[in-house]
Amino acid sequence: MSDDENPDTEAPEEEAVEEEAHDKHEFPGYASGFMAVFGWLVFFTVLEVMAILQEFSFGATMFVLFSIAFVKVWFIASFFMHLRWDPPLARRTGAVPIFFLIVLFVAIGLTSPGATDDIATICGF
Amino acid sequence: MSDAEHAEHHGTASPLVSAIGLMGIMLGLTLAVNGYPSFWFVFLVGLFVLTTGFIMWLSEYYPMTSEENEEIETYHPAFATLSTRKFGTWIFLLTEMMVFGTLLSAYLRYRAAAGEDWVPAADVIRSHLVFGVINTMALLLSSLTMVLALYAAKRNDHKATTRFLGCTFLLGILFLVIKGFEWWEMKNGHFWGEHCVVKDISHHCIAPKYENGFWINTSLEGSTFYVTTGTHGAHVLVGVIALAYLIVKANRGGYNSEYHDTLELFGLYWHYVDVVWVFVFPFLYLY
Repeated sequence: MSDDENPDTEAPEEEAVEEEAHDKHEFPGYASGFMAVFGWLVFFTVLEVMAILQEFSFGATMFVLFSIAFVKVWFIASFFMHLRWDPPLARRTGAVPIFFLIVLFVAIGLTSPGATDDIATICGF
Repeated sequence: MSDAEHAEHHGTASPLVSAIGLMGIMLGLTLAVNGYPSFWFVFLVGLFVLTTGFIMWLSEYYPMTSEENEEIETYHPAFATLSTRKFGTWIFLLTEMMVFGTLLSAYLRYRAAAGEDWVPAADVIRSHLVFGVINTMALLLSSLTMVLALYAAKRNDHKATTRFLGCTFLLGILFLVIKGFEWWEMKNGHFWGEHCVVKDISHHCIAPKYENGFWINTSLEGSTFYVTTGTHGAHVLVGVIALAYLIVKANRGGYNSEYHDTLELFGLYWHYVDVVWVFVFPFLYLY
């Protein structure tokens, strides 16, 4: 690698961006916010237990359970896993499997039972 | 980072030893359960080698008073401030997400295929749902105590760090004990009345096929339930073992305002276990 390409010798502007990103990495100086996050997680857990006791239709139940689960995951990932304060690379890395999970759940998990067996037919073979 | 530093050897053989041990375990187990019983020996040797690698790693890490933590070379500002250890932890968590994504999507697929014939584990547990709720609260609370432990380490408060890690450890143990009790009760059919032989969920009765208990080999419902919750429970167990080690090291002041990344990285794993439960609980315990 030549000196021109070496990031150690980059212009000061990029160092300033790095400094800024480093500052964003710092956690907040309080712990009470995490107590509030825990409170919200408990609230949503109670909500999903109450929702299931209402015996909604299959579609409504799935919608409620998935919605609450995603809200809880957002709370845990953003605050407990610090993604809110991490640089974009961590968030992007964490988002990579979402594509594969969508494929797993939508294309396989929630399809009609014969869907994957009939894939040759679907593809026109 | 200079080229010389970049090429510096980490000086430990424990990852290689552990990988060889793991290979022996996988090879031995696969062949042993498929008609080659002599390969149990390979499995045991693999287990021994893996344990040796683990002990080597612990003995190298325990006396360390600082943490190796190189920043990723910054070719673009987006890569700034993320350490190699943290990036590696996230990559590890990605693979873990795929494991549980596979288990849950397989469960959904089997359930969709069975249609009305599927008697979900949630029906078996419904009358004793309180155990699942307690376990959910235990994991959520343990996530909070894990974060507080990290905060205490950042404040150089060794006692509080140890205390919060201890709370996390106890909550993990509570989760495993309740899980074990729950499994035992379901296996032996204690969750429903002796004379319930019809599917009548509102009266806490259950389908005839579960009148003798609900276990991994009872039905496809049992297989998916125990494999998924068992894999999750194994992750909690590994976390509890790691916590025991972290507590010992924290108690001697191993984590402080300067060196606390190990707590943060373990926290990522522990919170991830919590995230998995956020999906396991509604889809296997509630519906």
